[in-house]
Amino acid sequence: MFNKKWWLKLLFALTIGCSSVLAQNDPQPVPPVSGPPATSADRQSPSKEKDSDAELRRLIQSSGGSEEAIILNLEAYLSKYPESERREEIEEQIHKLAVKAGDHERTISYAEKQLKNGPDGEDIDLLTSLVSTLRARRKDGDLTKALGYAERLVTSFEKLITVSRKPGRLSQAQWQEQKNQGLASIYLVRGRVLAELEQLERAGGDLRRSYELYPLAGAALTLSEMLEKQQKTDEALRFALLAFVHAISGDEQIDLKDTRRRMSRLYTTRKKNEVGLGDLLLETWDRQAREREERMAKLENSLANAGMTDPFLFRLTRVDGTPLEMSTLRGKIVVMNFWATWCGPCRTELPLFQKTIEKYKDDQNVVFLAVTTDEDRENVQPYLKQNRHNLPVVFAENIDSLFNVSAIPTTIILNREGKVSFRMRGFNPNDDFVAFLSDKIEAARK
Amino acid sequence: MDHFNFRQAGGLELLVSATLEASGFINAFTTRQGGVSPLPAGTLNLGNFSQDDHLNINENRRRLKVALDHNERPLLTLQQIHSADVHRVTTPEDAARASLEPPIGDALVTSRRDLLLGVQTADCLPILIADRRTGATAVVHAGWRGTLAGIARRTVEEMRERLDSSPADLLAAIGPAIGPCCFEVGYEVVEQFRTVWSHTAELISQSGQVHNPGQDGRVHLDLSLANRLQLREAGLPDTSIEDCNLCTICHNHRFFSYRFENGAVNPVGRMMGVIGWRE
Repeated sequence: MFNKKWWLKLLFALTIGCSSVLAQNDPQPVPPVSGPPATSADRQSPSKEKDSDAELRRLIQSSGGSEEAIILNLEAYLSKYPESERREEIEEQIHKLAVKAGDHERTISYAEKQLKNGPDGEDIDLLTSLVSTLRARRKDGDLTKALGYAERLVTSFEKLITVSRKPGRLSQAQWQEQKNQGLASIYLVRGRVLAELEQLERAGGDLRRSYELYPLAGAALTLSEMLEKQQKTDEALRFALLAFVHAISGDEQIDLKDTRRRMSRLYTTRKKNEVGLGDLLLETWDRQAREREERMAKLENSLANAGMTDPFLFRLTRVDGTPLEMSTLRGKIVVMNFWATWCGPCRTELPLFQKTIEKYKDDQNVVFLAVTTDEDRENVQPYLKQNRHNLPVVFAENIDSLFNVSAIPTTIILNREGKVSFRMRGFNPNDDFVAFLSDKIEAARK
Repeated sequence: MDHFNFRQAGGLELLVSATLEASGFINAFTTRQGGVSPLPAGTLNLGNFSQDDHLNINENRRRLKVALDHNERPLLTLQQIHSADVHRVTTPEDAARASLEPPIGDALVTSRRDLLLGVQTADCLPILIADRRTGATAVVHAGWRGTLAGIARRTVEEMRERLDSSPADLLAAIGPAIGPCCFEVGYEVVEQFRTVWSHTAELISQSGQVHNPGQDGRVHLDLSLANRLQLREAGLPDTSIEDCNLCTICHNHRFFSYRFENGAVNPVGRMMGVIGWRE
C-alpha cells in the first residue's frame, strides 16, 4: 500500500532517466479501506538494513545508467541477501528494467514471480505485459501460455470493472467510455493471441467486439490481416483503411508503411491500379472524424476551450448543464470568483460574493460568475444545495488557466474592454468584502 | 533515515520525525486523536474553518502546544490558497502581525526561534523543513496546484536567499497525505503538469488501461514524489528528505481525508504539521 523507501525508486529514475521505471501500476480503482495501522514496529531493523541499503544504493549508482548492468547488480544483491525484505520491490524493478531493455526471458520470469507474489495474483498490467512478451518471444508453447494469461486477463478485467466505482469527476458517459476503452484493449489482447493460434472464429469474435466497444487501430489491423487470410478482400480492405485512419488520428503505434502496402495490395486485387484508393481513404477519414466528434461531444470533453486566448470565445457549462457563451457577456463588466468546494476561505467568501451580486442585481452592465475549479464536478451541486447558495456557478473548463489563476480563491474583474482591471488572491476576512469588491467594480467602470 | 515515530503526548497521538527531533527541532504531524471537535466526537481539528466552532479549534491548538511542551509560543499558521506564495517572518513585528492575522500563502519560513509554524492539511502534503546550522524553520502546504507552481522549491529558495540557509544543511520531513495509490486526477491536471514539468511521466501512473495512456482520464499522481524531486532540485541531498509514506485515505481511521470523507458535503477536520526550534 505504501512504499517504505522512496529513494530506491527515485534513484532508479535519476540514474537511468527512465520514466517507465517509475510508472506504478495499481489496478485497484477503489480506494482501499483502512489497512492495519503502520507503526514504527513495521519498519525493518535499522542496524541490519543500513548496510544493505548503502550497498544497494552503491550498486545502482555504479551501474552507470545501463539497464543490463543494474539488472545484474540487483540479481547479485538478491542472491547475496536472499532473505531481503526488499525482495519483492527489487524484483518489481528488475521486471520494469527488463521490459525496457527488451529482455524477454527476464520480463517473463519476473512477471510470473510477481503474479505469484501479488496480493490477489491478478495484476492487469502484468498480465498484459506477459501476453505481449510471450507473443514476441514465441518459443514452443509460448502462444498457448499467452492464451492462458490472456484468458485470465479478460476474466479479471471484466471482474474489475464490475466492482469499480465511477470516479466523481467523470460523467456517466465518460465513465462508460473509459470502461469500453479498457475492455476493447483487453479483447484485442486476447483476439491477437487467438488469431496467431489460428483460432479464427474466436479471434474474430474478440476483435469485432473490441472494435465495436472502442475503435482501436490495432483491432482493425488484426481483423484486416485475418480477413485477408480468409480471402474476404473487401472487408479486409475496409478494416485496413480504418486501421490507417485511426492510427494517424490517434497515438496508437502501428506500422503505417506496412498498412499502406496492405491497403494497396487489397485494393489492387479488385481494381487494376491504385486509382480511387485515395478517395476511399479520405472518405473513411471523414466518416471517422465525424463519428469521433460526435463521441467527444457526448463526453463533456475535459479539453473544452483548449488553446483559446480570448475569454469571450469560451463556452462554459453552468452547474445545471446548460452552456454559457462568454461572447454574450462582451461589453459588460465581468466579476469572476474562482472557488472550490474544498477551499476553506471560499466557504466564508461565497456568501459575501452572493451579497455583492444581490447589491448589483438591477445593474445590467455588471455580470457575476462563481467559477468552480472543482475537479470532482459532482461535488458542486450538493455543496450549493447544502449551503443554500443561489449563485451563477459555471465550471472553469480552462478559463482558470487562461487567467493564470494560481490561488484559490481568486477574484478577477474584467472591464468593458475585457481587460483585467482587478485581481485578488485569497480572501481577507478583516476587510468588508462587499464594500471592497463594490469599490473595485466601480473602478472598472471608469 | 526514514524514521518516524507515533507518540502519545497530552492525550494526542503525534507522528514525529526522529531525525528532526535529534537535530534539535520540535516537530509533529497530528492525527485525529485527542481533541474536542465533533468530527466525529473527540477529534483534533486544527483547521480554522466555518464548519467547526472556533472555540473547539482554539482548544485543540492549545492542546497541541501543550503536547509539544511549548504552550507559551505563538503558533503561526496561514490562510492557505494552493499557491506557491512563501511568507517570511523575521522581526517581532512580523510575528505579531502574522499571529493576529494568518498571512495569505502556502509556506511559512522563519529565522526566529521563539515560534511554532503550522500548516493545515487533510490529503494535501505537509512538509516541515529545518536548517541544522541556523535553526531556521519552514512549513509547506503542497496540494497539486501548489506543487505545480513549485511551492517546495520556492520555500527552499526563500530560505537560501533570505535566511542564509545552505541546502546541504536542510532537513525535510514529509507528513501524511493522499498517496499515489489513491490520488486519482483528471487528464486536465496531467496536462497542466506536462506544460511546466519535465518529470511528469514519472509522477503519474495508469491503472487498468492498456491503450491511450493518459487520455482515458484515469491517472494517479504521486504528489509526494513530485515534492521530493523539487526539494532535490533545490539542492537537498536525498538522504536529508524523509517521507512517512502514510496515505490519508488508506489510513483514514487515523488521519482526516477530505476526499475520502467527501468534504464537499461533510465537515472534515484538518491535521497540522508543526515545527519549531527547541531551546
